[in-house]
Amino acid sequence: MSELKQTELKKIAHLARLHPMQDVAKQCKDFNNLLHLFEEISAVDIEGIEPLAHPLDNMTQPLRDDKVIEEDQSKLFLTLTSATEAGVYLVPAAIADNNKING
Amino acid sequence: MTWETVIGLEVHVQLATASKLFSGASTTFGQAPNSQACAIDLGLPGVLPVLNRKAVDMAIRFGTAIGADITQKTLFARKNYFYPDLPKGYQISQHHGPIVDGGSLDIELKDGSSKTIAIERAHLEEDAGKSLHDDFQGQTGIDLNRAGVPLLEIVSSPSMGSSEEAVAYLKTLHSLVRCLGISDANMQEGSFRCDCNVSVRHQGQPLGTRTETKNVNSFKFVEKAIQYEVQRQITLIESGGKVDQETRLFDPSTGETRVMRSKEDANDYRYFPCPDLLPVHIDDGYIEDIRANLPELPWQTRDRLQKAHQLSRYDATVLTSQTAIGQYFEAIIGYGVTPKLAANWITGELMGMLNKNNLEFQDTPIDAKRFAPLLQRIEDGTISGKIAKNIFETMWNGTDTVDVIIEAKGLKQISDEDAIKAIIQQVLDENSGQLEQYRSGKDKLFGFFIGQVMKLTQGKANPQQLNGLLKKALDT
Repeated sequence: MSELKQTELKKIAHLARLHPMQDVAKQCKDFNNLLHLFEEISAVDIEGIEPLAHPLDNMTQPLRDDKVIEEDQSKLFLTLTSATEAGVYLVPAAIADNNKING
Repeated sequence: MTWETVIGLEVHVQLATASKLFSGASTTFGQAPNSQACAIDLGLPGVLPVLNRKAVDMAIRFGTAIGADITQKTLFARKNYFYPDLPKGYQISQHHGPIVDGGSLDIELKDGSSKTIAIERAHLEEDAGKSLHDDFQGQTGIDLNRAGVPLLEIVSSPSMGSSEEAVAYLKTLHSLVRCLGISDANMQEGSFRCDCNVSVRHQGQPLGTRTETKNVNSFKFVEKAIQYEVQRQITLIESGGKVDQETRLFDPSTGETRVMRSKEDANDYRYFPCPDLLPVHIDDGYIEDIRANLPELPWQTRDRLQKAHQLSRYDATVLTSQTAIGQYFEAIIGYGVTPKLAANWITGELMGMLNKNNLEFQDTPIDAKRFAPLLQRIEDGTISGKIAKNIFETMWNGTDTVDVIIEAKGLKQISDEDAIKAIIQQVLDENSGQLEQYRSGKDKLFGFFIGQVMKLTQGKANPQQLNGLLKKALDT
């Protein structure tokens, strides 16, 4: 596996909305050490083993009936955040954010 | 060299379930902010999503109607991105193994030709919440009522070559999802939203770079957004520039599209199988049950009505653009009204009035039981078509039946030959100058005499009879 470059690590951090890192060189080294661990895992012989989408692949997802069973708990939930107004959660202005990737 | 346009559409259809895709919170539109966002929708620690059976049924219903394969082991995946109205930091969607695989829709174009549009896939996913940018100074308000509402995202192949084809496809899809009862497809409320992928190329060349114009919410806007985008791309390339892959927004007030953001690669969504949800195994019996209970589909109804009632293709298409219209038409002719007359009145007066009042067809204040006698009175000669239009307006604004209105306003058509003859004579006597001109060759005055008789009878003279009798009187 090729080594992860610092520029790639910075992009990953951006996508994950992590704050800028202080010692990128060290972080990059640590990250590459992690990747080497995956290399070891990848080395395991899995010839002839079917891929799993889920550890319980043969079980099926239970389905529920289309019934409304939840009550309005917005008053309680709104206390979990620092800023609310008129029943909505307030966050820093998001309109200038070019990074929304919806849909 | 000629330019060729390539269009693919992604349509988000909001499924008409009572509760959300993975929680028992209500999906009712327009409720107080956040009153319908439960702990699961908010992604609070320790919650588990449980899939709504009805949403699965609806996706299968759609898939069987378009002749698609239903994926018998369908998987949910997490699509990761950050935005305040996505509380979990990921959207539960489908990536590999979407529930609906393939299929197609036949569209009809204005010149009478038809084309098959292949559908690549349709998958289930949850909607995000809503960001309110205008009402909170310098901040964004978040209403999560919509978070978790079930969507079916229907992805067409890039096989449409014009805005006309794109709109025909959308209209066909719109009428299908309504006919199947899987969505109200209300475009204003966002239950049927379209993303337009557009690129241009010289004929025979590989596909050009595409742009995606998001969330266009009317047929008219889709047409305009595509036309604008095609022209913009051609002008750009011809002046030496190149098209960037980017997401754009359509501005209805200017008719233009503008850049919203440059698209990150699909890989940046970091899709992975959702560990909270098991694969959904769908057996043959489940699919066959749904297939066996499909309603008559819009194109089947269209062909049947056209054949049974000798309607024009246009009339048959309009009458089956919504299930409610077709049912109304069939109810009217059930009363013995001539199909062509019924078709003309429904597609003309009735739909025109609904349009003018911004109403959906099912909201018509005149039901079939009250509408049919109006057409019967035209057919039995009690009233003329022109008078019927006036009565129609009165019926629209009230609850009276046609017979009550005819009686109350004295609108019964004059079909007594002697009475019409007497009025004709009166008109000829009073307009001897025009009569002389007519007889010396000025044929156009025929309309003038008709007008005079209608004026005296307040429009009530039977038009066919009047025509014949006037001609006779003038020519003798």
